[in-house]
Amino acid sequence: MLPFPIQVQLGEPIYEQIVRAVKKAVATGQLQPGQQMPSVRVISRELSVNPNTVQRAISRLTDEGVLASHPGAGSFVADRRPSPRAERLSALQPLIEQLLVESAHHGLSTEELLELIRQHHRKIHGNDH
Amino acid sequence: METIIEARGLTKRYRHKDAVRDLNLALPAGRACAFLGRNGAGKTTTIKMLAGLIRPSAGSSSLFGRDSQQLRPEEWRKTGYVSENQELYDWMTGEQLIAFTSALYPNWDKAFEKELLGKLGIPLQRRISRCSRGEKVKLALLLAMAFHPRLLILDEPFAGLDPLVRAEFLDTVLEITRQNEWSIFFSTHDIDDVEKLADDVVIIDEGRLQVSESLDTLQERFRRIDLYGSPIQFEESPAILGLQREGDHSRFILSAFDGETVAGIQTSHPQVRIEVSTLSLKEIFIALAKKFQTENPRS
Repeated sequence: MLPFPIQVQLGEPIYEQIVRAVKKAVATGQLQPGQQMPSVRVISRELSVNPNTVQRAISRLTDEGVLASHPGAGSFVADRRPSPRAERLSALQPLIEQLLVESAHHGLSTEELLELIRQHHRKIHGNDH
Repeated sequence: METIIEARGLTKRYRHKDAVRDLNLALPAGRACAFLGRNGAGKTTTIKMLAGLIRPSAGSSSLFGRDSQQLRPEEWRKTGYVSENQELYDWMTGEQLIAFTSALYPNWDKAFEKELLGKLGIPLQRRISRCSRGEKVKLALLLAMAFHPRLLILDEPFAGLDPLVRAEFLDTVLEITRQNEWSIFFSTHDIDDVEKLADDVVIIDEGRLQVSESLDTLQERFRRIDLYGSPIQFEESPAILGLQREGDHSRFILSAFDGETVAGIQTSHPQVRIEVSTLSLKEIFIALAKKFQTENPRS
């Protein structure tokens, strides 16, 4: 069993699904800073996917600072540190744009959208944030 | 990176048609390549030429840098081969055939053999002629893997297997990737399995190479695009597949999607609403196969 939930679906590159699943588990606290990640081999076996695919996901997560690799010891969940503002913007801008387009399409006001985001945030992080 | 399989201008002419035309391929070490095509596209002919089982009419191919027509036991001891209609000595029992085959390979790994047996669940005491198709294919896979081949060639390995056996087969094939040196070249119609196994995808049609790239780049450049709004005039483009229109809704598959696509459409057609969705490899393959069908209709 992997320490983060993932259900591999066809139709989207599998490494992107792994990246997203790990990020989500880190965001919800299911993966804690400093926690050791399973090896590429273990993840590949658990998901029945090519280890190159898993390696690509781990490299991406390491590049993005979600994981940190200690040579010889494997990968660990990195301590959370805010990313530079420019990086944050470029990562989030397309998502925000999509969200705004979709909510306009469904006739949602910005206020309603913000409330939905708050609700969802509570669902993910609990009430303590 | 070492090239494990290479084909240069590989061609096979039969009396009435060219089965394979001027095919160029390169499989580097440490990668799994899915070899796809419609029935009769030339996949099996290509694999047989690569393995030196039939002679090309023109061009050449090599395994481990050695011409396919001149393979020695040395190359075969590094190559596991499973084909759809594998001939096994079917008067033997599984146990006898394993004993017989293991004697041919100096690096046969008895412990790995036991591990594979446990994983695959193969009846050892039954004559092979009385085994099911799934049991025979699993036995063939064990025989192709227990000596730790550096190259695994699989020709339609999943054909006719039930989903459980297919999953066992796929898991077992992945075992090869735990070795230091490995490569996999496999043809299949079960495209859903490809997404989990392949790094690279090669698609042929009418014996000609149509696609040869990594699965990632292939999935990145294909998108389904839905446009809602006043009808749009399209220029004919080879990148647009399967265009459908109904009222003010247009739908097509774009084979050259990139980060600029949506902005580009939106700029020239500010009034339309655009929806973009990713495609599974199966959907990509079907879209391409339909295009091939239109271009090269078969009887």
